[in-house]
Amino acid sequence: MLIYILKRILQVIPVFIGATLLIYFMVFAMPGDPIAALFGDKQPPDALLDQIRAEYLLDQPFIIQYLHYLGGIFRLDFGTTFAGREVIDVLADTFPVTLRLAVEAVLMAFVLAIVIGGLSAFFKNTWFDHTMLVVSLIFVAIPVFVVGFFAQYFIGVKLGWASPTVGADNGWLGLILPAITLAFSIYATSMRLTRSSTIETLGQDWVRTAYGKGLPRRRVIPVHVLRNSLIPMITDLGTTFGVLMVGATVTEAIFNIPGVGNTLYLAIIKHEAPTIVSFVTVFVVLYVIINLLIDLLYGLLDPRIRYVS
Amino acid sequence: MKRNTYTFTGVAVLGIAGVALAGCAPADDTSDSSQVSGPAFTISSNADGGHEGWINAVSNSISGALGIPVEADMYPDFASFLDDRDAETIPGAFRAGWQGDYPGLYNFLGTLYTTGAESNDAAYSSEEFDTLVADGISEADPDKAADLFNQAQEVLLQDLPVIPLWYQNAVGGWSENVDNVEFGWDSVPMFTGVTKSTDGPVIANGTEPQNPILPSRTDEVGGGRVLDTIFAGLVSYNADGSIENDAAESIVQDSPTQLTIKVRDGLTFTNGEPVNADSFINAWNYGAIASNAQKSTYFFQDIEGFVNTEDQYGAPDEGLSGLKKIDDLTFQVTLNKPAADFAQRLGYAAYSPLPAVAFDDMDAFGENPIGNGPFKFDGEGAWQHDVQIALVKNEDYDGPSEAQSDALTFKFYASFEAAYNDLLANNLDILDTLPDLAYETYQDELGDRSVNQPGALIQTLGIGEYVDHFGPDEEGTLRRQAISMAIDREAITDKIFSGTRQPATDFTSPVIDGWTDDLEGDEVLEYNPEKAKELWEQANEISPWE
Repeated sequence: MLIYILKRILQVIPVFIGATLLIYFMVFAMPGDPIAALFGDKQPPDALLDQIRAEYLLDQPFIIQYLHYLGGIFRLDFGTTFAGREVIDVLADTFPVTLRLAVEAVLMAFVLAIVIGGLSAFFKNTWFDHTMLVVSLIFVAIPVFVVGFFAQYFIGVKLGWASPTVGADNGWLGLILPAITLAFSIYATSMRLTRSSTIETLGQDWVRTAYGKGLPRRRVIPVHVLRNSLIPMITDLGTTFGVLMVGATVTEAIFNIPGVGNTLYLAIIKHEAPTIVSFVTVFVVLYVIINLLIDLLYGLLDPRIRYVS
Repeated sequence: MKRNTYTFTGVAVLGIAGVALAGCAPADDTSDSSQVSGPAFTISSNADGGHEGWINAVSNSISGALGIPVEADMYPDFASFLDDRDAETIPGAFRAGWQGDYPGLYNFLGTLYTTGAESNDAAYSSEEFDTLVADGISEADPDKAADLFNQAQEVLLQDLPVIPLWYQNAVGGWSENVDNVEFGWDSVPMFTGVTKSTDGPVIANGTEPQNPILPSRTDEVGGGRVLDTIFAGLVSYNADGSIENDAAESIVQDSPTQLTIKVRDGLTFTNGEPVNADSFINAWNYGAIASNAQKSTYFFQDIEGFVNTEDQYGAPDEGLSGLKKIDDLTFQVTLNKPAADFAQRLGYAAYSPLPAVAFDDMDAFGENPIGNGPFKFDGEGAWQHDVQIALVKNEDYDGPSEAQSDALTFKFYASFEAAYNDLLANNLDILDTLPDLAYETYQDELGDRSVNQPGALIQTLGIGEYVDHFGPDEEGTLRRQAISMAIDREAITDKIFSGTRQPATDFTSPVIDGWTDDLEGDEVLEYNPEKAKELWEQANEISPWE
């Protein structure tokens, strides 16, 4: 087991180098001079441009720029933004916010999905099941920005139940509206997944055996059915969580959340290589770690799954 | 609402895809080719600035009048657009514009169209224009100077290095909790005059400053509005663009190339340091010295001692020879070329003073700046990055723009849509720019808590002299005039912009002193499709469009 975990962690190294190299190269190959763009419509003199470019090593060939960046990372120096901030500070400011948002959204969506999905499975092909199917289809069909603008305008502006935007108030409560918005978009898939997986488990021999032994329903459902139906859900949780960390950009923009999506989007517009590469690298490492954790969770949920070194 | 939402989502996707699709081709054209012939005339812009709507409208207008295909040529982002613009490889017209640094005609003319000027993107060159502008900037009498500048504009109207489109209005609103909101000539609210009827700070929208808050390094609106409220320069601008002495006791223009400036006695920075001649001389030198590579170096280029060659842009390390201290509070500025409007420029934040403590560590100072203006930072950590900057009233400030509220917070927004919703919920007090989607509805939603007034911003279409068929000859001139007269500015400002832009009648802005809508030759800025077609045909006789 330990060797397995160690191996998985070692795999992060090539993934890390590959990801940084690739992303760095892509930013490098983006057309346009980011320094000239800093000046807007004013055209700066070449002598000044050259000097600022040299400050950011932008006058150096690609490989020198990359090695310099990589060298910095090992000293925990992720470079600076064009505005002169340490990228690591930007990371430290924005990640907790997006992490809170993702956790809140996933919690809401999954609790609801497991309850509704489970009930749909027990009462399959009844009016309840059909209604929930239609509702989930509606949820999945509405794009996230429609839900976002709707929630912001009606709940935030018209009813005044929550602030329409987040800004400085980015604690658990402040993020409630955007978290609901995101939960909307991920609920449907999880709910359908729970339903089908529960139906499958309910038909298994060991469930029949459990009932046959005379076990009461309140013991069979949580221990025998739910636990086994959760395995595909856990895989889903991992990917959903990863997607939310990276892909909440639209929601973050609508609700003005100072999170990673917003920051990364602005950095891409500015061609700010240190920010883009650092953020994406953290995403990649995070993704790998989340997947490792999930693989380990399988073992807890289903003892038949064993890790071979 | 839809258009913007889709644009934003599209851009978000594009931005990420742009990394992968580096160098991808610009968007396809949308014009139909039923009645048009010949090669396409293109209008280039960046896709991430929300310009596509009006560019398509302008394209259709030109295409309809001239019977040629006109295509929008959208670059994925601003940087790649600038690359081609500065390399002079844009094959047709390009989006251009100018926001006045200070309310003077020269800033709109000399900076943009003088032969060899850095921002002369159309590579325009006219001896007649250069002479008139040089005479204008040497003229001490403002009326006579305006006369010369307007004669220079009449030369531009004949040559049309850029085609003026419209002036952009200041369109903003405020909440039910604040009063006395007034917007200045530069479209920025006069924050110091605002009063609040409920508790808490006045909350105004802003964006994360792109640089440390330093007079010589801040060159964008996010940091600019903070700088303007925490520093007081020698003069400050009133809402109408007129100037009033602030930190200056007197500014005397001894000659077109020399000024003597006396600083008011007894002024201090918020750390107690006195504001004196050295505070200005040292700050200006820091901004001007080439090896410091400051973004606002440009503002010092007219001062004696500034070097502008291929390898150096800025002052040598010992500073500008044109800044001379006379006594503790007095200094003399010698210019390297006449600038009769120099005193007027001094309200721009780049000319702010700095306390001695700043020079120990500029970057750290820029994080927690110490100024002499109507507001000051609310202690260490007042700047919460990507979230807000909290300011409080500076009780020691006694200049013309004393703060009428106890505190002012700039809250950062990534989009005006989000800010507008906050305004409607009274979570935000002042929004200086309403989102496009609110143009139709804001008057109902805000009533008299909104403003729609001219600002110092003009949008134009530049056409480089290097573009085929548009050179500095008769054919080029005819074609430029034809394109200009083929654009229905009235209809576009009305329909696309819902009256938040005004058709341009010159190259400057109506808020600038000396502006007139009565220039000779300004009929080339009026929509006249028949005449446009006629001029285009005349150009075709010189050299066919193919």
